Amino acid sequence: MEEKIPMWVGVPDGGMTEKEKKNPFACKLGGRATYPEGELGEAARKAVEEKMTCDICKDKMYLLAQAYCPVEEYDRILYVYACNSSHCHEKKYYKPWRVWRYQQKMKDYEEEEEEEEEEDVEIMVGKAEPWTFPEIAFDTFEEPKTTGTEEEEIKKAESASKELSNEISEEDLDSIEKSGCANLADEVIAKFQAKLMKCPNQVLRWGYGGKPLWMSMPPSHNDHHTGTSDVPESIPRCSCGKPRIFELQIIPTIVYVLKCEQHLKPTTGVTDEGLDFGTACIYTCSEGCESEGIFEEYCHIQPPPRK
Amino acid sequence: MADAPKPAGKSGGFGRGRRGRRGGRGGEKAPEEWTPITKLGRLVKDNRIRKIEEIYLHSLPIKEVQIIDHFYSKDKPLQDEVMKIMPVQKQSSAGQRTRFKAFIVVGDSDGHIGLGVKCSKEVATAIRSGLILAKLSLIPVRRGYWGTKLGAPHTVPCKVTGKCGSVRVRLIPAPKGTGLVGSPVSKKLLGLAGVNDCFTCSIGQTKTMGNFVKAVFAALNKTYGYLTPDLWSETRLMKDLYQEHTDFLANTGAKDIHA
Repeated sequence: MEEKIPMWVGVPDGGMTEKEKKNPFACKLGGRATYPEGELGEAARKAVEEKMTCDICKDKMYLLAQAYCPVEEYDRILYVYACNSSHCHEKKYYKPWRVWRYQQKMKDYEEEEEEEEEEDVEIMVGKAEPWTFPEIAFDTFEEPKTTGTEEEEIKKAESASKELSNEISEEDLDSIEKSGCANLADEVIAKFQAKLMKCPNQVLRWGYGGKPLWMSMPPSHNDHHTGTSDVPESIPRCSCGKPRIFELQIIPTIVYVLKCEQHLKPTTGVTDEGLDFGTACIYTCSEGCESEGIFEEYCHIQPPPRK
Repeated sequence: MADAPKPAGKSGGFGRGRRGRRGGRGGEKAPEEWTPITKLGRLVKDNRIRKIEEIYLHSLPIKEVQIIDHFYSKDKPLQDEVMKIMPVQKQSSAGQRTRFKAFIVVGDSDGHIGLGVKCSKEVATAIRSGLILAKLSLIPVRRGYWGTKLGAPHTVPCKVTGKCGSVRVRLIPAPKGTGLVGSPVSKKLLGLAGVNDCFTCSIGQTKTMGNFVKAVFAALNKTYGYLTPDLWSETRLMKDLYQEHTDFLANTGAKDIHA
């Protein structure tokens, strides 16, 4: 039985300090992508910028998130790009996304001297440049287990139930069992929301080798109840030949945090509503392609719920 | 600064522990805070939608409970009522498996009613989830007059009937002051819906609480589906709710609110 991989969540945490803006290992949403110094970083920048156009509208894509996720002895940065045009997402929701993984061997960084404890000042989020979202830093921590409000609700519900008398009605058994549950898709989204309530403002979920939190029916839904199918069948293998596994998931709360509809492309038409999606699950090479460089990874999208 | 602690399993990490001074704040964010995940949720959170009726007008599916909660507050509460908790049993090889089915009704006594049915291993969970389902299924109820159009509408606009299973429930307009004429269950439901006067008549195995409640709910649902003569005039086509919002942004100029 495989051990459960703990999930980490990323929550937005205000603007970036000047120091962080220059640090390519800082985790952020929006803004412009920053690459580590050196020729590897430069090569990465060139490779990404060549392919940064949306397949559908041929315009530049926006950087949605830049996350630093080291694994074993490698420093890795994931760059997630998406097209900020609702038309592209409506046409083919799985197309206007691109994910890059930059990988380099971990170098010894000098221990930076401890910064003086500044007051806990909220850093304002800066203005967004054209073709980018506003730059927001995010904080990461392990997913909390339960919320305080859940305890209250349980108590309320228990007191409500004590007031009623239970009667068994035998005639109802069959029809009731069938009509009781809402349809399966609603159950999935209800579970999704229940999980989000543990940390309501999360925007990213990370768990290398873990399970994504599905928002609509998981791809091979006949395995839904056993929970075994977390790898959609159609995930392509990495270029090195190894299969890909889940690593990072982006929650649609990010659209609210970044205010995507206020940062539309300068070339957009009037009827554009910006980015909208259900969830984006990013699958990366399970072995890490033991080398340095920049690799394109696979992003599995679920469209936003429509009845 | 130290790296973030490595999780069990694959030795990797997420983010650098750069926010040491704020790290402790991690799990303590206000639990009432709601970050919307759907487009409709975002519009509601930004107060772009004033009344819940605007959502009904465009028949948009509501997937987040907080959208409903947003329109109700202390002064205009959404009351909920647990109609019945019913243990249901299923025979399995290891004896009987008992689960609890909860019927929850929510309403504001002013034209909105919702019904949620949820089955769960624990009573508390069933009630909690049933309440959420009830809020998500909130529907508007049309009220009308029995006779003279004097004062506020007080009864159903016409005879409507709802059915579920073998149960047929018929709601009939009644003159002012009649009150609700029917079984305690239907009185409760109609009261929460905001109907003041109504005659009811039912057929079938009404003892089946589940079907009876659903039948009344179906009847109330139909009140806005019925084409009465005063709705004969043609209505002009309206803009999509999302379209309206996009145009609003385009006209005022998409300013960066963070600057």
